[in-house]
Amino acid sequence: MNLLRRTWKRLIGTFANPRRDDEMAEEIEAHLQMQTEDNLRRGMSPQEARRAAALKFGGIESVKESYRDQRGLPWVAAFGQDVRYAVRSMRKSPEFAAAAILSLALGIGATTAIFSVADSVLLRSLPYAQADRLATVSSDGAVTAPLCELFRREARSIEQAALFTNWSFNLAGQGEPERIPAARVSAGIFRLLGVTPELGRTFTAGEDQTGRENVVLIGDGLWKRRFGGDPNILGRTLLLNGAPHTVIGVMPPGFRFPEGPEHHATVGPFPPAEMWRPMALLGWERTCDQCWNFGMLVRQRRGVSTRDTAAELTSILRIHGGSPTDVITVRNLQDAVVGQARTPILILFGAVTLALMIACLNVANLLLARGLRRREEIAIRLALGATRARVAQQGFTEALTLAFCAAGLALPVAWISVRGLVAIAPAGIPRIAAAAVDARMFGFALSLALLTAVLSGIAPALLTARRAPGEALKTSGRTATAAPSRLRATLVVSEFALSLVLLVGSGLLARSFLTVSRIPLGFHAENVLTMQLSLPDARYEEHRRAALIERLISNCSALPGVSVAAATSTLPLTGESEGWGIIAEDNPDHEHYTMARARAITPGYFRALGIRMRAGREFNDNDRGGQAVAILSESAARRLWPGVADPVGRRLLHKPPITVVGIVDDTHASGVDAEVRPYVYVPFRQFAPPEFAVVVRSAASPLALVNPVKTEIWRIDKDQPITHIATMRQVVADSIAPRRFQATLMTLFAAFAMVLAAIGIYGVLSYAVALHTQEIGIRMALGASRLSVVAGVLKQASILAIAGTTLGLVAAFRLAPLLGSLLYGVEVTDYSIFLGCAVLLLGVALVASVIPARRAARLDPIACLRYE
Amino acid sequence: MKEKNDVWQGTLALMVLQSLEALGPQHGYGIARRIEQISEDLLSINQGTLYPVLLKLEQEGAIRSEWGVSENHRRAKFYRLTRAGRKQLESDSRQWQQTIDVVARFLLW
Repeated sequence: MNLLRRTWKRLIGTFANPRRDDEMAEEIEAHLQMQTEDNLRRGMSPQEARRAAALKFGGIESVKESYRDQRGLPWVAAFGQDVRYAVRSMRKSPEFAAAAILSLALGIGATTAIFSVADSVLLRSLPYAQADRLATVSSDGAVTAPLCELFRREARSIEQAALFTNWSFNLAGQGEPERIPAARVSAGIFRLLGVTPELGRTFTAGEDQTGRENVVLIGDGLWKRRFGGDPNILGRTLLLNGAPHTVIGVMPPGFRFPEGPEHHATVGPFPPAEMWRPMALLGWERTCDQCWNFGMLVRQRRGVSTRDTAAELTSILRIHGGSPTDVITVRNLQDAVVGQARTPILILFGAVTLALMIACLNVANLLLARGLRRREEIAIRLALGATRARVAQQGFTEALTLAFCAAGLALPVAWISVRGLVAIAPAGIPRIAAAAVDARMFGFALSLALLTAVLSGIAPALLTARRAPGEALKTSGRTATAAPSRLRATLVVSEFALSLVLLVGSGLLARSFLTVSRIPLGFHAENVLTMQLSLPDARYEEHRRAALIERLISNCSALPGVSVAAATSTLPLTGESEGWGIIAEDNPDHEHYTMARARAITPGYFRALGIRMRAGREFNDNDRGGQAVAILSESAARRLWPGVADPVGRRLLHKPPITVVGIVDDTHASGVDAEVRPYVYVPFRQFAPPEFAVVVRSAASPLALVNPVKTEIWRIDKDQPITHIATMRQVVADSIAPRRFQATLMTLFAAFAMVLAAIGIYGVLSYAVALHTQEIGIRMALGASRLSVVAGVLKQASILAIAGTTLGLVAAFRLAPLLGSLLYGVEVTDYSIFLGCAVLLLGVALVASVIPARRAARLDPIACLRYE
Repeated sequence: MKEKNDVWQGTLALMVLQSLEALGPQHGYGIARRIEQISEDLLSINQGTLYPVLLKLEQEGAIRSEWGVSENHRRAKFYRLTRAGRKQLESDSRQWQQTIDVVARFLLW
């Protein structure tokens, strides 16, 4: 207790005002005077009296010092002194301070940001009860309703099963018409997931019957945004797709289902659902075994693995009429949600960690360099009686000051980076929006930085103090001992090695991105404007819808500047349409249907997108009612009729049979870098989907057409929400955005690393030149040419750079396979990239060493010899 | 300077407290004089060493100081025992007494 109180007082005393010193002096003076007076009374002479008093008192200065030490906490006072000293010396060499602080701040900030995203996307578990037992079931991405029923009935490994599919509603009434992403789900799906609504109830068993399904659950976000969080929302009737629906509940914030790119019946990024409606299967949906339209979610029995379930379901399918090649995929829900986002995020996290390590190495390097330059000063202080601990404390304080400045800067860097990452991240990374600066990771990165700074701050003091001060003084400056410079060389070599790893990574990713962006797509994206519309069932019967679309397209075609206008059920690269198992009428092998994706299009579609006809004809206005017709993509035709030169005129097995009237080029419609899928195109007149995209080819800039086309649409229906207005070029760019994102970030990290490596080697060489000034002077005085001096410096540079690069090549060679799944059209061992990066890095090293080399060459021999 | 001699400081502290108890508020010189008188110059201390002890006691809250005027009309800092100081004096003297008793027994045996 006393100790605590005293320490507190001393702490206060440390910062108390300097008047205390005067008071102490006054008190001592009073004491001496009183003693002197007493002495005088005893008959001493004035001088004698004063002298005796002083003798009796003892060493005044030593009392004062001991008094001062006791009054405050000396090490705290020294700390303050050191901080002031550190700030002063930072001001004196701002470029050093800036390099150290910036590299640490960027390193810490970026690592924290990437980790925060990784944590939000990958690590946080799903908010469902016993989420590890949840899994998705699919055959090539989807299931049919009969298949789900079969599994539900037969499979022992699953406890509950539910279907879901994406949907969307046009929400009219109060306010702007809005298109709300939604999902149709089996009534039991919420029980299966183990979630309860925030308000109201979930669906009851009877509500997935036709006629009773007009009830909806709404998401928390929609509730707050559109309905102001109205607590009386329950029981309210909303006009959805023109039909009244009753709100029965509000789901809690953060409830997101379905979620993740792998998670949909259809492929491609969908905005997360904000409304859920019970799935009342229509008659044809219930029985159609070619309608691969659904996602299937199961809760597995306790202790059953996804592999067990997959094996059981596959065998059930094969027993019940599936082909022996059919395979059922079962994926843990968390994996399914995270999907393809996992690998890139882990890779980026690895990369940014390397960058942080390089930053730390660099700071160690800079601090060591500066510390070593101060050896003489340290030696003098030691010789004058400073303790080693005191000198180390100063180094420690300086390092700490630096690290704290960096930390102060790193926090905003981290915050901005997280927001930036969320903003520029390609669509379809699940849960990324929830990312926030992660305190744990910030703490970790900060401690790493602190540790680095502290170790490299204390090191010079310890290294110097290890030997007798006298010796350090004698050898000071001119001839450095080997140990510290070997240490620094090691740091630089490591920086180069790590930088090369990052460079190779960014090279491989960038090459993949370039390769992908040059893939011929099978269509021409230039000068095409696209936008998406939805004509829901309730408001438009199918024939009215077709007529409306026809009118819209013909009006748009008449707009000035439009060369062709058309519509399609699904725009290329924006998701996948439902699958059709198509079978040739003259080759009715039911076991081996060809899975093709169906697209409904209007006659001008191929011309609007510039897709080449290979045979036959386009659709025309006569393709309605009567004879059912289709156009196949080349690969679809080849699979149905292998070896047949011209399948035009043949028929697909269907009721009634469908005649193939044309063949078109294959397109990369399901993904630029995905394998080419077979497509079957049917005319809008025969199958008008509720959602479609308008495609307009213009003579000039397509964006100039946005307003005229919108006006046309609203002239036909003023309540029509229009979404996804974009040029086709933009659509293509968005679809390869993940690659661009990865390549960009990796390149940023690599560039950062390279700059740091350059600073590192520059620092080491400048120091070496400064250290050997006298030696260089002597050599030049003895007749060495400037060229040989330059060569000497460059030789040092190349030894470091080549050693680092070689090590880096080995490491990159080992690490590159990790990137494998992210690459396209480039081998992980692509020698040209490895060598190119090595050459680039060596070039950077060369440039960084030019300045010190020139400085060495310009030395004046006479001045050198006098140099101290 | 290190606080190398805790025993000595502790002893001195006890003497200071005892002096203040006996004399009432007193300045440093007065305390030093009293210690000298009582110890009959057996203890030849540097009077200066008293001040760090006074500071320590003040930081611990055993004594309090204020500026006042001495008997010769000189401005001086006066120290006064606080309640906590009185308690500390009591317990410290008791401890000393015990120590003395024990040591005395050993020496007499």
